[in-house]
Amino acid sequence: MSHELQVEKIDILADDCLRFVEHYDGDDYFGDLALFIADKINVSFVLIGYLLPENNHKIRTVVLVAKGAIVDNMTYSLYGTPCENVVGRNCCYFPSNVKKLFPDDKELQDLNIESYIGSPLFGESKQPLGLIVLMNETIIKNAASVEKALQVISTRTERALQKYVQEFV
Amino acid sequence: MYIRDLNLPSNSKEVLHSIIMQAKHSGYYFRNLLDDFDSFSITSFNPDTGRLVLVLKSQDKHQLIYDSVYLLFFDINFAKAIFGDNWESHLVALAEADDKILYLSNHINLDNYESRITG
Repeated sequence: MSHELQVEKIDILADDCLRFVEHYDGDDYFGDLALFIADKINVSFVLIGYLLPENNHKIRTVVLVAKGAIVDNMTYSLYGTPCENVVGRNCCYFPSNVKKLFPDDKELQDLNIESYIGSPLFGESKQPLGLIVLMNETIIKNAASVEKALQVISTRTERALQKYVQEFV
Repeated sequence: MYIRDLNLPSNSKEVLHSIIMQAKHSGYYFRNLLDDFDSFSITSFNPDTGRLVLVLKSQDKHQLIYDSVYLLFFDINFAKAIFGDNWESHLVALAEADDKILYLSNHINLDNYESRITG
């Protein structure tokens, strides 16, 4: 793929995501965003979650999409998961073998996850707030494009998550 | 398996130190202290996962323990800092590489980043 085409693809995905978050006026932002991302990026699993205030090593999801459908939310510990290096830190990309790298992560094993991209979400004073995670049974391709898209949606998602935590947690 | 800095093969130690220096030089943000860090030592390194624990030291003798968890191989900003624009293809290749240090030493120009090895 030429450099021009690669750049164009990155811009298209980011632009689509930007349009979604800028124009969204529904009443289930997290659910619709997760479904949108799963469809656009073609991944089996998407989750958005917040750090539990009473336990800063546990995440509670506000949405969990599995194979095109929203499923029940869950709480999980960060220990021994790829999310450990994402929350409060940086965007991480595990192209393959992620379930082998994290043998103690039962969800990765049960869901047969091979590839993972996670991006941190921060509160208004830059404190660790939560994360958004994409997972798939095969390699998540075009990670540069995906990372750019996650950056684009982060600001509104952080605001929405902060509001959710303040109101409901 | 964790390898203590002092027990690292010298070539692996040089690769790791050079990579850290290159990342710093390229603007990777290690948080807090490292903006002005003067030297560092490697406390431990897991060659399978890339977990790297550093003690960072500033000129005024402050120290910070930095636990990367999975710094080397999977942090996108770190990969950008050491691989540049081709970070994605390198991370894909690195995930499959049996000897990640060898891969890094073969794909990064290490000559420009001499480090002060204190470990």
